[in-house]
Amino acid sequence: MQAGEALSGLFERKFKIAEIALSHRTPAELPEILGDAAEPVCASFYQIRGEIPGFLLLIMPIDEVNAFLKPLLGDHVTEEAMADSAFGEVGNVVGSAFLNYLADYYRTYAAPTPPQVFRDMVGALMGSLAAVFVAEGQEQVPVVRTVFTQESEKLSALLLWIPYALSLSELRK
Amino acid sequence: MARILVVDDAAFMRMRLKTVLGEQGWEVLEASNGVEAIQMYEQHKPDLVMMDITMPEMDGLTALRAIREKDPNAKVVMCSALGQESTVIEAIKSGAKDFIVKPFQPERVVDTVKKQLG
Repeated sequence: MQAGEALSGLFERKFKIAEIALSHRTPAELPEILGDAAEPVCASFYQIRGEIPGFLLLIMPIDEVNAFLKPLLGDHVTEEAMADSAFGEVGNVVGSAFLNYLADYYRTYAAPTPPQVFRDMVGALMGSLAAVFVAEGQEQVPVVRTVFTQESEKLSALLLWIPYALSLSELRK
Repeated sequence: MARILVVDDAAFMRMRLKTVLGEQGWEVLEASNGVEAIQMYEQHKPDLVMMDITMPEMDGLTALRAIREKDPNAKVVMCSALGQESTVIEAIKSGAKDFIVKPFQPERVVDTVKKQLG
């Protein structure tokens, strides 16, 4: 909810949360978690440090990014470096709103790294992440998926929170 | 004319703040991380610093402490999406004059700057 409000606040237009879901996947399932692994996407990605470590990603189909960012950037939207900077900042604001709520509610601390922005096939992106969990020996990966939509523009963005299993154990305490 | 140093690793956010502050007639300087911020502060002695927290090279809280150590009268306002209670408290204890949580309304930024510039 807080992440949706942050998104609406940044764009000064209403975004609604269309879906929130928690699932558990094996690392091998991550590349196809959004369906077609070959779909090109833009992703704002960061690691979370602190007491609930993991990863946060804001993902959007690449052909929707310019329309999404146009209200923020105006004519600058065609400059890829500026568009990537803006998309990274949107991910920062939305992801941090989510983390702020978690941290304050559970009386813990979570700090994201500066965002990195990738334009790649979703399968390649999630495959890299899967490799991290395989290296950690984690057989099940919890995934919290939140979908935001802005109806007037028919745009949707996806926020994925993928914590290490120990993070959920920490919260359950 | 007051001089304000905007510190943020996101070029987009520096552009946005520069527009909001520039419209008020304030001169805006830019730095993209904490290390640059300290150098720019020493070089230009701005009237106010608006500082992000999550940045590469050096984060904003570390830069805040370094600037306040060199100049205990430095006015630094944090402007960050990382608005967890513990972070806000740490920033204020470290000498920040105020804390603006992103996303911000331009009016909130202007009011805060006016208040700090007196």
